[in-house]
Amino acid sequence: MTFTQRPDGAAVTIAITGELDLYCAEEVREKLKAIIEEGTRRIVLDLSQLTYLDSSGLGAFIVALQRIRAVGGAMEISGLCNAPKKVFELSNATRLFVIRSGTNGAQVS
Amino acid sequence: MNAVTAEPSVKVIKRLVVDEHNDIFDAADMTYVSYPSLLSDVRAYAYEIVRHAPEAFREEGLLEQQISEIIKNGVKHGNHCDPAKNVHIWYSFHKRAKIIVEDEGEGFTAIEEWNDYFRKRQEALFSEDFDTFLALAAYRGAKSDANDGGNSLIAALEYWNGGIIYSARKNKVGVVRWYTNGSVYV
Repeated sequence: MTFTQRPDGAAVTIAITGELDLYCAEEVREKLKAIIEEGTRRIVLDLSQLTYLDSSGLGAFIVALQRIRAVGGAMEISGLCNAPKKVFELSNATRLFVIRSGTNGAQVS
Repeated sequence: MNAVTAEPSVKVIKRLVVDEHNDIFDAADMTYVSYPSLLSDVRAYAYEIVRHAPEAFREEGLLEQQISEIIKNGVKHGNHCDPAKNVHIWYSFHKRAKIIVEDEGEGFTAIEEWNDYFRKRQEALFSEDFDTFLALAAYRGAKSDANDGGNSLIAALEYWNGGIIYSARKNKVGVVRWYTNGSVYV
Protein backbone atom coordinates (compact mmCIF):
# COMPACT_ATOMS: atom_id res chain seq x y z
CA MET A 1 0.00 0.00 0.00
CA THR A 2 1.25 3.48 -0.82
CA PHE A 3 -0.20 6.76 0.43
CA THR A 4 0.72 9.86 -1.54
CA GLN A 5 -0.72 13.27 -0.81
CA ARG A 6 -0.64 16.26 -3.12
CA PRO A 7 -1.91 19.74 -2.30
CA ASP A 8 -4.13 21.04 -5.08
CA GLY A 9 -5.61 24.44 -4.42
CA ALA A 10 -7.93 24.29 -1.46
CA ALA A 11 -8.05 20.50 -1.65
CA VAL A 12 -5.60 17.75 -0.83
CA THR A 13 -5.60 14.84 -3.24
CA ILE A 14 -4.49 11.54 -1.74
CA ALA A 15 -3.68 8.59 -3.94
CA ILE A 16 -3.85 5.22 -2.20
CA THR A 17 -2.54 2.31 -4.24
CA GLY A 18 -2.20 -1.44 -3.75
CA GLU A 19 -3.92 -3.34 -0.96
CA LEU A 20 -5.58 -1.53 1.93
CA ASP A 21 -6.36 -4.17 4.52
CA LEU A 22 -6.42 -4.83 8.25
CA TYR A 23 -2.63 -4.68 8.36
CA CYS A 24 -2.27 -1.11 7.12
CA ALA A 25 -5.67 0.51 7.78
CA GLU A 26 -4.46 2.06 11.04
CA GLU A 27 -1.67 3.87 9.18
CA VAL A 28 -4.17 5.33 6.71
CA ARG A 29 -6.60 6.27 9.48
CA GLU A 30 -3.88 8.13 11.39
CA LYS A 31 -2.56 9.92 8.31
CA LEU A 32 -6.03 11.10 7.33
CA LYS A 33 -6.63 12.25 10.91
CA ALA A 34 -3.40 14.27 10.85
CA ILE A 35 -4.27 15.88 7.52
CA ILE A 36 -7.65 16.99 8.86
CA GLU A 37 -6.14 18.23 12.12
CA GLU A 38 -3.68 20.31 10.10
CA GLY A 39 -6.66 22.24 8.76
CA THR A 40 -7.48 20.55 5.45
CA ARG A 41 -11.20 20.86 4.76
CA ARG A 42 -11.44 19.15 1.38
CA ILE A 43 -9.94 15.76 0.66
CA VAL A 44 -10.14 13.85 -2.60
CA LEU A 45 -9.20 10.20 -2.37
CA ASP A 46 -7.88 8.82 -5.64
CA LEU A 47 -8.54 5.06 -5.43
CA SER A 48 -7.98 4.29 -9.11
CA GLN A 49 -4.97 2.09 -8.33
CA LEU A 50 -6.40 0.45 -5.21
CA THR A 51 -6.58 -3.29 -5.84
CA TYR A 52 -7.92 -4.61 -2.52
CA LEU A 53 -10.04 -3.05 0.22
CA ASP A 54 -11.42 -4.70 3.34
CA SER A 55 -13.71 -3.53 6.13
CA SER A 56 -10.80 -2.07 8.12
CA GLY A 57 -9.74 0.05 5.15
CA LEU A 58 -13.27 1.21 4.44
CA GLY A 59 -13.64 1.92 8.14
CA ALA A 60 -10.63 4.26 7.95
CA PHE A 61 -12.37 6.23 5.19
CA ILE A 62 -15.63 6.39 7.13
CA VAL A 63 -13.91 7.68 10.29
CA ALA A 64 -12.13 10.33 8.21
CA LEU A 65 -15.44 11.36 6.61
CA GLN A 66 -17.05 11.66 10.04
CA ARG A 67 -14.10 13.77 11.26
CA ILE A 68 -13.98 16.14 8.31
CA ARG A 69 -17.76 16.57 8.20
CA ALA A 70 -17.71 17.43 11.91
CA VAL A 71 -15.52 20.45 11.11
CA GLY A 72 -17.51 21.49 8.07
CA GLY A 73 -15.32 19.87 5.45
CA ALA A 74 -15.86 17.36 2.69
CA MET A 75 -14.25 14.20 1.38
CA GLU A 76 -14.74 12.74 -2.05
CA ILE A 77 -13.73 9.56 -3.83
CA SER A 78 -12.45 9.31 -7.38
CA GLY A 79 -11.38 6.40 -9.55
CA LEU A 80 -13.27 3.78 -7.55
CA CYS A 81 -13.29 0.50 -9.48
CA ASN A 82 -13.17 -3.30 -9.40
CA ALA A 83 -13.38 -5.14 -6.06
CA PRO A 84 -12.96 -2.00 -3.88
CA LYS A 85 -16.00 -0.54 -5.66
CA LYS A 86 -17.97 -3.68 -4.79
CA VAL A 87 -16.94 -3.33 -1.14
CA PHE A 88 -18.27 0.24 -1.13
CA GLU A 89 -21.53 -0.93 -2.74
CA LEU A 90 -22.06 -3.87 -0.39
CA SER A 91 -21.81 -1.52 2.61
CA ASN A 92 -23.93 1.27 1.06
CA ALA A 93 -20.82 3.46 1.36
CA THR A 94 -21.45 4.72 -2.17
CA ARG A 95 -24.30 6.65 -0.59
CA LEU A 96 -22.09 8.13 2.13
CA PHE A 97 -19.41 9.62 -0.08
CA VAL A 98 -19.50 11.79 -3.14
CA ILE A 99 -18.15 9.42 -5.77
CA ARG A 100 -16.60 10.93 -8.88
CA SER A 101 -15.68 9.04 -12.00
CA GLY A 102 -12.11 9.34 -13.32
CA THR A 103 -9.09 10.40 -11.31
CA ASN A 104 -9.20 14.18 -11.72
CA GLY A 105 -10.88 14.48 -8.38
CA ALA A 106 -8.99 17.59 -7.36
CA GLN A 107 -11.18 19.56 -9.71
CA VAL A 108 -13.85 19.86 -7.07
CA SER A 109 -16.03 22.90 -7.19
CA MET B 1 -24.32 18.77 1.21
CA ASN B 2 -26.20 15.53 1.15
CA ALA B 3 -24.63 12.51 -0.56
CA VAL B 4 -27.81 10.44 -0.27
CA THR B 5 -29.53 11.02 -3.59
CA ALA B 6 -30.73 7.89 -5.37
CA GLU B 7 -33.65 5.77 -4.21
CA PRO B 8 -32.60 2.27 -3.18
CA SER B 9 -34.24 -0.27 -5.45
CA VAL B 10 -35.35 -2.61 -2.65
CA LYS B 11 -35.99 -1.43 0.90
CA VAL B 12 -35.43 -4.63 2.83
CA ILE B 13 -33.71 -4.66 6.21
CA LYS B 14 -31.95 -7.97 6.69
CA ARG B 15 -31.01 -9.55 10.01
CA LEU B 16 -28.42 -11.86 11.44
CA VAL B 17 -30.20 -15.12 12.25
CA VAL B 18 -29.54 -17.71 14.96
CA ASP B 19 -30.63 -21.22 13.92
CA GLU B 20 -28.70 -24.14 15.34
CA HIS B 21 -30.43 -26.70 13.16
CA ASN B 22 -30.22 -24.84 9.88
CA ASP B 23 -29.12 -26.94 6.91
CA ILE B 24 -26.27 -24.49 6.39
CA PHE B 25 -24.38 -26.31 9.16
CA ASP B 26 -24.50 -29.63 7.34
CA ALA B 27 -20.79 -30.06 6.65
CA ALA B 28 -21.08 -33.30 4.71
CA ASP B 29 -18.84 -33.23 1.65
CA MET B 30 -17.14 -30.05 2.82
CA THR B 31 -13.38 -29.74 3.26
CA TYR B 32 -12.18 -29.06 6.81
CA VAL B 33 -9.13 -27.04 7.85
CA SER B 34 -8.04 -25.60 11.18
CA TYR B 35 -5.71 -22.69 11.87
CA PRO B 36 -4.23 -21.05 14.99
CA SER B 37 -5.64 -17.63 15.84
CA LEU B 38 -2.92 -15.49 14.35
CA LEU B 39 -4.29 -12.18 13.09
CA SER B 40 -1.15 -11.73 11.00
CA ASP B 41 -2.05 -14.82 9.00
CA VAL B 42 -5.77 -14.26 8.43
CA ARG B 43 -5.41 -13.23 4.81
CA ALA B 44 -3.11 -16.16 4.14
CA TYR B 45 -5.75 -18.52 5.54
CA ALA B 46 -8.40 -17.01 3.28
CA TYR B 47 -6.09 -17.10 0.28
CA GLU B 48 -5.38 -20.79 0.84
CA ILE B 49 -9.11 -21.59 0.90
CA VAL B 50 -9.95 -19.47 -2.13
CA ARG B 51 -7.25 -21.27 -4.09
CA HIS B 52 -9.75 -24.14 -4.31
CA ALA B 53 -12.57 -21.97 -5.68
CA PRO B 54 -13.40 -21.71 -9.38
CA GLU B 55 -12.03 -18.56 -10.97
CA ALA B 56 -15.58 -17.37 -11.70
CA PHE B 57 -16.35 -17.35 -7.98
CA ARG B 58 -13.39 -15.17 -7.00
CA GLU B 59 -14.70 -11.87 -8.40
CA GLU B 60 -11.37 -10.06 -8.50
CA GLY B 61 -10.52 -10.80 -4.88
CA LEU B 62 -13.97 -10.19 -3.43
CA LEU B 63 -14.45 -13.81 -2.33
CA GLU B 64 -11.08 -13.80 -0.57
CA GLN B 65 -11.93 -10.51 1.13
CA GLN B 66 -15.29 -11.73 2.38
CA ILE B 67 -13.89 -15.04 3.66
CA SER B 68 -11.04 -13.15 5.30
CA GLU B 69 -13.58 -11.00 7.18
CA ILE B 70 -15.40 -13.93 8.78
CA ILE B 71 -12.13 -15.65 9.68
CA LYS B 72 -10.88 -12.38 11.18
CA ASN B 73 -14.01 -12.12 13.31
CA GLY B 74 -13.38 -15.62 14.67
CA VAL B 75 -9.68 -15.01 15.30
CA LYS B 76 -10.06 -11.56 16.82
CA HIS B 77 -13.45 -11.35 18.48
CA GLY B 78 -13.98 -15.05 19.13
CA ASN B 79 -10.55 -16.30 20.11
CA HIS B 80 -9.05 -12.92 21.07
CA CYS B 81 -5.99 -13.72 18.93
CA ASP B 82 -4.96 -16.50 21.33
CA PRO B 83 -2.77 -18.77 19.14
CA ALA B 84 -3.57 -21.69 21.44
CA LYS B 85 -7.14 -21.47 20.15
CA ASN B 86 -8.01 -22.48 16.61
CA VAL B 87 -10.51 -21.39 14.05
CA HIS B 88 -12.22 -24.35 12.43
CA ILE B 89 -13.27 -23.88 8.83
CA TRP B 90 -15.32 -25.99 6.45
CA TYR B 91 -15.61 -24.96 2.81
CA SER B 92 -17.18 -26.14 -0.41
CA PHE B 93 -17.29 -24.56 -3.85
CA HIS B 94 -19.63 -26.99 -5.56
CA LYS B 95 -22.21 -24.88 -7.44
CA ARG B 96 -21.92 -22.14 -4.79
CA ALA B 97 -19.49 -20.87 -2.18
CA LYS B 98 -20.32 -22.25 1.25
CA ILE B 99 -18.17 -21.58 4.31
CA ILE B 100 -18.56 -22.44 7.99
CA VAL B 101 -16.24 -20.81 10.53
CA GLU B 102 -16.25 -21.86 14.18
CA ASP B 103 -14.12 -20.33 16.90
CA GLU B 104 -13.46 -21.40 20.48
CA GLY B 105 -14.77 -18.25 22.12
CA GLU B 106 -17.87 -17.23 24.02
CA GLY B 107 -19.89 -16.44 20.91
CA PHE B 108 -21.23 -13.26 19.32
CA THR B 109 -23.58 -12.42 22.18
CA ALA B 110 -24.43 -8.97 20.81
CA ILE B 111 -26.32 -10.25 17.77
CA GLU B 112 -29.63 -8.65 18.74
CA GLU B 113 -27.86 -5.39 19.60
CA TRP B 114 -26.25 -5.53 16.17
CA ASN B 115 -29.59 -6.22 14.46
CA ASP B 116 -31.09 -3.24 16.26
CA TYR B 117 -28.16 -1.05 15.20
CA PHE B 118 -28.47 -2.21 11.58
CA ARG B 119 -32.21 -1.56 11.49
CA LYS B 120 -31.67 2.05 12.62
CA ARG B 121 -28.86 2.48 10.10
CA GLN B 122 -30.94 1.21 7.20
CA GLU B 123 -33.98 3.24 8.24
CA ALA B 124 -31.78 6.34 8.15
CA LEU B 125 -30.51 5.32 4.71
CA PHE B 126 -34.01 4.72 3.34
CA SER B 127 -35.38 7.96 4.78
CA GLU B 128 -32.36 9.89 3.46
CA ASP B 129 -31.48 11.10 6.94
CA PHE B 130 -27.87 11.67 6.03
CA ASP B 131 -26.59 12.88 9.40
CA THR B 132 -27.96 9.80 11.19
CA PHE B 133 -26.76 7.52 8.41
CA LEU B 134 -23.23 8.95 8.68
CA ALA B 135 -23.26 8.64 12.46
CA LEU B 136 -24.35 4.99 12.16
CA ALA B 137 -22.17 4.16 9.17
CA ALA B 138 -20.00 1.82 11.23
CA TYR B 139 -21.01 -0.42 14.14
CA ARG B 140 -19.34 0.31 17.45
CA GLY B 141 -20.06 -2.37 20.04
CA ALA B 142 -18.67 -2.80 23.53
CA LYS B 143 -15.90 -5.01 22.16
CA SER B 144 -15.02 -2.90 19.13
CA ASP B 145 -11.64 -1.21 18.88
CA ALA B 146 -10.27 1.50 16.60
CA ASN B 147 -9.00 -1.07 14.12
CA ASP B 148 -12.44 -2.55 13.56
CA GLY B 149 -13.99 -1.14 10.43
CA GLY B 150 -17.45 -1.77 11.84
CA ASN B 151 -18.85 -2.59 8.42
CA SER B 152 -17.86 -6.21 7.72
CA LEU B 153 -21.21 -7.71 8.74
CA ILE B 154 -23.09 -5.04 6.81
CA ALA B 155 -21.33 -6.10 3.62
CA ALA B 156 -21.60 -9.76 4.57
CA LEU B 157 -25.40 -9.57 4.71
CA GLU B 158 -25.40 -8.41 1.11
CA TYR B 159 -22.58 -10.56 -0.22
CA TRP B 160 -23.67 -13.91 1.27
CA ASN B 161 -26.92 -14.02 -0.69
CA GLY B 162 -27.66 -17.62 0.32
CA GLY B 163 -27.72 -16.81 4.01
CA ILE B 164 -25.60 -15.94 7.04
CA ILE B 165 -26.63 -18.06 10.02
CA TYR B 166 -25.23 -18.34 13.55
CA SER B 167 -25.32 -21.41 15.77
CA ALA B 168 -27.06 -21.34 19.15
CA ARG B 169 -23.76 -20.65 20.92
CA LYS B 170 -23.10 -17.93 18.32
CA ASN B 171 -19.48 -19.02 17.94
CA LYS B 172 -20.12 -20.67 14.58
CA VAL B 173 -21.34 -18.94 11.45
CA GLY B 174 -22.35 -20.47 8.14
CA VAL B 175 -22.52 -18.45 4.93
CA VAL B 176 -23.50 -19.19 1.34
CA ARG B 177 -23.15 -17.24 -1.89
CA TRP B 178 -24.88 -18.29 -5.08
CA TYR B 179 -23.65 -17.17 -8.46
CA THR B 180 -26.70 -16.94 -10.65
CA ASN B 181 -26.31 -13.57 -12.35
CA GLY B 182 -24.17 -14.95 -15.13
CA SER B 183 -25.55 -18.49 -14.97
CA VAL B 184 -22.25 -19.46 -13.40
CA TYR B 185 -22.55 -23.01 -12.15
CA VAL B 186 -19.59 -25.29 -11.67
